[in-house]
Parts: sequence; structure tokens; C-alpha cells
Amino acid sequence: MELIEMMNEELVKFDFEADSKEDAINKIGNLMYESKIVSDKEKYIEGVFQREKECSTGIGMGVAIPHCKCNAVNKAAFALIKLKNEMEWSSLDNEPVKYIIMLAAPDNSDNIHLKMLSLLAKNLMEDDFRNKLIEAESIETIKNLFREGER
Amino acid sequence: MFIVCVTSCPVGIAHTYMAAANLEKAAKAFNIEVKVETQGAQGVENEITKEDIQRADGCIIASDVRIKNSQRFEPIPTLNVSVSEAVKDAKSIIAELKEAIE
Repeated sequence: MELIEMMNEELVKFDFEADSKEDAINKIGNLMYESKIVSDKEKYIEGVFQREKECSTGIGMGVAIPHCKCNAVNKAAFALIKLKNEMEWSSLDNEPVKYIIMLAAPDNSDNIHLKMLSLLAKNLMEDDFRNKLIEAESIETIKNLFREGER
Repeated sequence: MFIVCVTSCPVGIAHTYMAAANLEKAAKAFNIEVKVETQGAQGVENEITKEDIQRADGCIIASDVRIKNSQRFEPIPTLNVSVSEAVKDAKSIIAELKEAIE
């Protein structure tokens, strides 16, 4: 399995409008629900907020990766959200966030998809991958980036 | 120098693996051999064995949860940090352990 196969174009957005971290998580949670990734929107969003409470998922360098693994999720997925306006996220480096990668994982041991989500997280630690993702203006550019990453 | 690391986080789908990637990268930058075990939602991967510990100079545990089998590291110098620290700045952690060992 490759990252690109798991990409859901309905969950890739540019110039995404949100007023705050809470607003962004709610809106992306709604997208996940509309794409039938999650069966119980409230429960999934609650799970994401719970995770944020334990420790902020602002990993620094303008990126946040809110996530939740729970039984409200039908299938593993990720949303790639480029924000129109950067926002406060209590990040590790205290810098505002301009890109959100929100992950959803079902509460089972479907390791192939979990591996894809962790591969995406791992790739974010590569400056080149992260910068290209943040700067991407089209789905095609992101697809190319994922293809490059597989090589 | 050879060090072993374990990473783990509450959900086990993202931070565990980001911390692992960073520790590997940082160790390489210091020219230190490293083996990183991840304890995530995918279970234990790249498990650190008795043989690894026997020849290891030190250990880093980057975790926000109780890791499995932590007593195996008792014989070697071990630095405990949060998983976020390893995501934020793995280089400083490796440098700290390196200094403690030398």
C-alpha cells in the first residue's frame, strides 16, 4: 500500500477558512463525517479534543496533526488542510499553525493503514517533504510529492 | 558509540513515529549508531533485544506513557524525556546523553 492510494481528495483543502483551533477541528471533523470516514461526528471530534488536552499536536514549523483513534471511525484516513489564515495552536515552538493534517484511525488493529498514517507523520519530520506539502497549491502537486516520497 | 531508544505516545499513530524518525536522524548527525524501538498502535516494532542492550552505551526513553518492559534498560545509563521533546528537538536529547556517557 502507498500513501497516495489512501489519499481522499474530498479531504484535501486549500485556503480553508477557520477562526480558531476549535473551529478548524469541528469543520474538518465535519468533512470526515461527510466523506463517511467517521460514523459518529461528535464522538470523533470529542476524541480529537481529548487528545489535544493531553498534549498539543502542534508539532512546530507551522504544522499541527490533530488525531484520534476510536470506534467512531469507519476507516483510516487523513485530511490535508491548508489554512487561509494561520492560527494559534499551543505548538511546541509557540509558532502559529498554517497547515493541519488531521488523522482518523479506527479502533482496531488494521496495521496496514496505521502504518500509512505513521509514515505520513514520519515524512513530516523531513524538512523537504514538509515544506513542499505546506507550499502545495494543488492536489496534483501533493500527489507528485507522495510519489517522490515512495521512491 | 551505540545507543538504543524507545518511543511511545498515548494514541500511538503519530508522535511515536515522528520521535523515532527524529532520534534516528539526530543520532546520525552525531555519527552515533542507534536502534529505535517503537511502541505504538501497531504494537512493538524493531524491538531492542538483550544483545542490543549488552553492547549499548546508553538509552533514551521518549514517552508520555509507561513503556513495556522498561526494566530491561536498568543496566545502562537511561535518559527519560517526553515524546514531544523528541519531536521538537532530538538533537539536544542525543547531545545530553552523549555528554553523560562520555
